[in-house]
Amino acid sequence: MQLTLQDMRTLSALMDRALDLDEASRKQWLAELANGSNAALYPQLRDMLARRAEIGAGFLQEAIKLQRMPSALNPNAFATLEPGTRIGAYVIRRPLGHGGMGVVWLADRADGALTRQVALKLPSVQLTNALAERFARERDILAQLNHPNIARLYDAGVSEAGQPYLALEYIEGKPITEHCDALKLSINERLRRFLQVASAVQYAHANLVIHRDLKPSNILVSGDAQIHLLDFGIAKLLDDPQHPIAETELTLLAGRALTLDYASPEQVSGQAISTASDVYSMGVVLYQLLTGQKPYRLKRGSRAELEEAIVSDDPTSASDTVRTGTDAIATLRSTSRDRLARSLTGDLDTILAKAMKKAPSDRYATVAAFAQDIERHINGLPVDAQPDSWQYRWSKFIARHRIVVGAATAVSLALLVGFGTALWQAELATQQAKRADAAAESARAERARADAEATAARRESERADTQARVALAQAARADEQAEAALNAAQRADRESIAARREARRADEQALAARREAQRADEEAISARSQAAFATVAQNYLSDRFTPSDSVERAASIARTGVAAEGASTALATLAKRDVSGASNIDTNATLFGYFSDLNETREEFARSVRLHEQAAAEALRVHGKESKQYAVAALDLAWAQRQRTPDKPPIALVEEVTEILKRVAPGGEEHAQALHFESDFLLNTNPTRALRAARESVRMIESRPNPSKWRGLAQRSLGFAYRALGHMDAATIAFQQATKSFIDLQGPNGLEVGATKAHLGMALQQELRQAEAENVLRDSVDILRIYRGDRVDWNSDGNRLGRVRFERGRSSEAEARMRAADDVLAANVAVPSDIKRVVAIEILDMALARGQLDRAQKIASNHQYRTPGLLPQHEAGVFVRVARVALEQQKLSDARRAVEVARSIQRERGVPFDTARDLALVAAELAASEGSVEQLLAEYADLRVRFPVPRYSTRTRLLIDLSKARAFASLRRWSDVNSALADWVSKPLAANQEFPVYLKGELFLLVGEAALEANVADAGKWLNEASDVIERFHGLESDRLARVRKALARVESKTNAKVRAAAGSIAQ
Amino acid sequence: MNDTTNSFEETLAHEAASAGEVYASLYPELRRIAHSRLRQGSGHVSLETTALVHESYLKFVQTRALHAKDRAHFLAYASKVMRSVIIDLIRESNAERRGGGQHDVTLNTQIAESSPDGSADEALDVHAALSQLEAVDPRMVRVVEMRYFAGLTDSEIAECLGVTARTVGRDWEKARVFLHTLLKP
Repeated sequence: MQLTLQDMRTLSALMDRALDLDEASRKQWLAELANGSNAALYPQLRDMLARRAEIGAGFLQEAIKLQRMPSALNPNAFATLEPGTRIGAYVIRRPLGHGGMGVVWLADRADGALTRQVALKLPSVQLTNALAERFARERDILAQLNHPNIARLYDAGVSEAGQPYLALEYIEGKPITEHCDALKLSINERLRRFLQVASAVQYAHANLVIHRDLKPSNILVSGDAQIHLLDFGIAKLLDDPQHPIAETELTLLAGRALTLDYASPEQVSGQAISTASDVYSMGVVLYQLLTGQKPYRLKRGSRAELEEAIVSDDPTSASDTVRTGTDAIATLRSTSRDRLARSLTGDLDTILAKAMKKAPSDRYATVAAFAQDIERHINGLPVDAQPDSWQYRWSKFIARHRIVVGAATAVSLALLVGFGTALWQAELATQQAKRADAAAESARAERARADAEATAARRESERADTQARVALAQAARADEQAEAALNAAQRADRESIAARREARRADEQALAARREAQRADEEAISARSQAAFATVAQNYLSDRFTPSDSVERAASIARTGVAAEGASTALATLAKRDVSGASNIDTNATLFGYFSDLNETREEFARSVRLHEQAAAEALRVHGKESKQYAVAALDLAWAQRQRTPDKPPIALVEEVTEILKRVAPGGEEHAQALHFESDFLLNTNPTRALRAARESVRMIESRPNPSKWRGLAQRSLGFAYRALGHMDAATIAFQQATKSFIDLQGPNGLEVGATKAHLGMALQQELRQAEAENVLRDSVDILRIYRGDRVDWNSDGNRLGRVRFERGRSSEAEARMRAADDVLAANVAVPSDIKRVVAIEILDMALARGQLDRAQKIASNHQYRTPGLLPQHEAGVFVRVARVALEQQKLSDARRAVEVARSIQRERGVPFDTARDLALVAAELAASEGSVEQLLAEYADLRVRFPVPRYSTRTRLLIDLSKARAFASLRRWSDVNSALADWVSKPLAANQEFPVYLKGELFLLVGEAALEANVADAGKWLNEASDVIERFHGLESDRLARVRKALARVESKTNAKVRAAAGSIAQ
Repeated sequence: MNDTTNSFEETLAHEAASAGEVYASLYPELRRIAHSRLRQGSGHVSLETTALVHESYLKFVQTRALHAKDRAHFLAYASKVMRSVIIDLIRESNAERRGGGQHDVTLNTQIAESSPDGSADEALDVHAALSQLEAVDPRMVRVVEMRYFAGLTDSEIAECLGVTARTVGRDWEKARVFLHTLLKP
């Protein structure tokens, strides 16, 4: 019936009325309507009201919310994807497909190293910081999956353009459903194929990897009838439960958007995923393999309907589906429809039903259990899934022993037939009766046996059930634990990762040490270790070692593997020693900090604080506030609080204690300690006061006769305070004294010696005392290697040493280090991201210094993302270098962008002086490049304001002046260039100072260029020097060399002109 | 507020009068804000139209004095405009995705193909259906505009249209039935 506009208006008004009524009144009103003036519209109205009840909550939700599709890191990355593009170590060849997650290309390795093709998956996902870190962590786990039926994940990373990629084994094959149909495989053959799949999934589950997206298109069969599972755990790779934004992105990309058919109820309703989810998906796949259909019957086929069906409806049983299906399905299984239905009825129906139960705990506990039931079915044994009944088992028993039972019947028949005449019939009857009795007897016996068997079988099945329940509980717990373990691992930050790698390296070291030990008498070594432990313990008791010191030493001894068992006991003893009750609690915390991960450490520190609070309260109660006992306890408490929250040291508490000690025990060791703590706590906020406190503390301690660890510690704090105020020379002296104190206490290889030498080296570097710095830093690295292993080569310690060597002009060493660094940076899986970042910054500096802009660009683009897990100077450091590279390449907007990022990091997190200085300098030079003189001058003037350090170190002054000179040179203000560099040229450096060579080259070049505008003779001298340096340390093709040569050529021509003019005038 | 018809007709009349002036500057303003919101930030961005509508109201209050009564009219009008803006954005995005997108000028404002509630495609359907229903029951269409496209609350809508919040709720329910009938037959 065609509705007119007027009809619609009437309907609308009628709906108003209808919605106004309650249920009961509405029915009546409707009835009246059917007979009234609007009877024609009654059917429509009724339908609409019925529809109203059906509308799901999903239809026309509240306000529309538009969502922006997450863009790739480089928005142009997709637009320009063409065959031959280089992504990471691979070159893409042709597109293989386009999934919900992104595109997949066929690719091979760029260096042609292995002629192996990979499927390069390019997720179209934004690499947020959290995502990038997860990406890095998870791929380690996935890369370890090594199974013939699982497509390998070879590699994963981020390309130069910022495109994340996953390099997977390339499989050519058909989805398992197509394969089985093409070959018209029978039910049993399909089951056997499926068992292959199950074994692969079980392997992955054993390695704590859940697939999450099992479906026929992810289960390929290659030409050799081998099963290959694709995309294992890839969905998880991009998932981050801690950051809901990323989770929604994932949903957009890989979850709801894709086919729901194989998703488990918990996946659909967004609940926790477990191995049971994979079991469910496998159930659906098997269902499809056997019946050619999907398990749920939908009326309208909408997504919402499917979601609801998965979550609440029972799937149609396989045999039913087939019975009401087409013949073609049976043909594809080399059978008829009836036979197919029959073969599915019973066991297979039940197995499938169990796999697809709504509640995960109702399904098979493991994929192995699933597979076992299938195997049992293939072999005619009773399956687990069936409800227990002795009749069932009896029927299985009969089926297996069918021939035997039949033969008995045939024999008895033959006996009866053997008899003839009626005379014998009586005899026959008696015989028959006897035989019937006997048969009955044997049947009874048989029955009894069967009963016994059934009972035994029932007991067996009960036991199996119990076992299954136990296994289920265990598996559930294991699943929980696995999930929890995964979550815990994911929650840990870089320190826990480092700890794990530490453990691995500790193992390696243990192995190496064991090999060494074979040269000596093993018992002697063992005895020595015990003695060493005793020494450690004694030294700790006699206060020669700091707690962390003892722990590191003890641990390094333990690492040799020889005294391993004794180690933990010894350490535990150390921890438990009862001296003053509270003061060993810190050791506990430090011990935990060394051996376990960060969460436990934090808890230990918190516990330590609580215990110290109790101790202090006790001391307060017993001795009162003005007492040494309270002061000591309060000091310990302050230290514990500081360890727990290093950003907020309890300054007020320490000041209070200092005051108390001034009154009750002035000049004592505790007083000195308190002052040392004060200095330490105040270092970041008020370095001047910190210096005062440190000086007083040192004075007090130096006047005491007995050496103790406090002496070295106090002197070191003095060094820190001087350094914070820019007095590098004074800091150097303080650090030297501290080093000597520690050597006296711990010997030349003491841990604190190594640590203090590192600080000494840093201070020397600031004053350009390069030769001394190199010696000291080399010592430091050698010493620290004993305690921290080979990672010292690539962390900040090795980094500093590498830098000073580079600055002293050893270019072949530098080149070797850069190449080694390339390996470190390229190693996707083994190196933690904080080390990579530190290495990247070091190499960037080297590349920049040598004018190798391409190399610098490459590294820079790989590390241009924010990683808040790093120290702020490392997070921001990259962007400062990126800005420099861009500046050198005249890519001003890139440079500006990088500066902005670095500035925002500075605002959010704060950075140390060096980083802030470097950032300010590059920003100023950028302003110069943009031609803004006022801006430039303002930036430099601003420096003093922003960094109110009383003194700048020599290095800082040099960097600032060079920066000014560079900036003025770009503006061609040569007299300003001269004034910026005048002092450096006229006043030679002290005998123990050296310019970093590349800075020297630039210095002479700038001075030479400025001189060129004035006095030719001088210019030549400077430029020649510059040329020497630059030629030796830059590449021959470098820009800087070209520049210096051009300037020299100008000098040449000017000189020639002068000579010609002079010759000319002489001739005249 | 007592006589529903009168208040609503009043609204319509008022609309017609100031329509030209308000609409002229409101459309580009809202569009600009919506575009820049979608452009901002990295990763997932979602656009809440309610915020936009209220924000544009504040902007307008600054530039010209609007009476309290005018606020209601403004919001009603802004919802209409918001509807146009959103539909335009979606259409643009679809065109871009289907093969346009050569111009560098457009910053990546592609609207998610498959947001969990399928709103993008749904919105286009709703818009078409509403156009058909305009002649049938204009007040119902206004309610949908204000609730679905502008995210206003029932009481805000009630104030705009001069009816009770309960009426608004009923209109909404009715609208869902009509739209469901038109969209999913």
